[in-house]
Amino acid sequence: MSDETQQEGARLIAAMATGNRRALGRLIALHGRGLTLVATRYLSREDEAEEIVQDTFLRAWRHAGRYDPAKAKVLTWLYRITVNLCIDRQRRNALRRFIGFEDVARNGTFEVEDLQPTAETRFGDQAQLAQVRTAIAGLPDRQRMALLLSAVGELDNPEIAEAMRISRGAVEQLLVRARRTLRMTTGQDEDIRQ
Amino acid sequence: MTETRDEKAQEDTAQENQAHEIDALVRAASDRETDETAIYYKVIGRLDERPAIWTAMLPRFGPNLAAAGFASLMVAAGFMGYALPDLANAGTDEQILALAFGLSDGIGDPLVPAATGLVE
Repeated sequence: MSDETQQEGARLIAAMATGNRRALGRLIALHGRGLTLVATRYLSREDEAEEIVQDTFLRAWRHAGRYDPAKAKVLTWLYRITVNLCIDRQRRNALRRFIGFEDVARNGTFEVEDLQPTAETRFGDQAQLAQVRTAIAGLPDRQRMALLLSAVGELDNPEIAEAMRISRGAVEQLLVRARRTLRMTTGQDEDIRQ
Repeated sequence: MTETRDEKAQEDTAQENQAHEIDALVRAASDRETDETAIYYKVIGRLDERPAIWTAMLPRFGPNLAAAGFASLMVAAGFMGYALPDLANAGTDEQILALAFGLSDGIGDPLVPAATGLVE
């Protein structure tokens, strides 16, 4: 994230703390897409991801007065809220499935496969992308989150460490493992060897 | 010596390229239409949401509820196969309590820190 974007984000959050809804709208315009993509791919559920993103901005609105730009970048702060909410949601879903409150099938990991692709991906290799989505869904939770924050959220390793509250070394390990698994499961390894 | 350094540099570059290729695939696989305007209006519509009833009760019954929540958490952690330290490491106090309380009624909005005095 550029310094300008960070400064604008910090100004917007300060304005939100005074009740400025236009600032909230601008913050959503700046970061809503990235948060939505990460949450959708992490949870493999479009509806739940949208709720998570709404909750993220609701929390940002309610706690805007407590944001300290000296402690965290705006983007990292928002992603940390999203990461926490995603973890909560997964745990709750796991327990609901265990005690039978929720149909297991409804929590399948492939419900977002029929999402409308953008023009960029429409003409791409859809079969390969479906394979990649399946591979991402199969990654261990922390590897999946680290990879998505890096590739989709475009956070650097220190920012990922902050968002996930783990060490930088742990982030590097998670990313190496996640990429290695994806290379193997999507056949990228064979392409490289040839 | 120089040869070794060159080999190392080539290896690093190759690894970096591989990482970029994988990341590009992940980005492509995650791409979809998003509607930030819709998010904004949905959030605006929820700004005046009342806190969950148990959240409102906390200032009065805080310690008892916290104790009950912790007990629920222990049971929940056992059911889900989590070790308690995993939960503690993964979340803030607020989240852990929210998990414990949220499980019973499926309430979506976890505890408001201001209501509990917990620091996020």
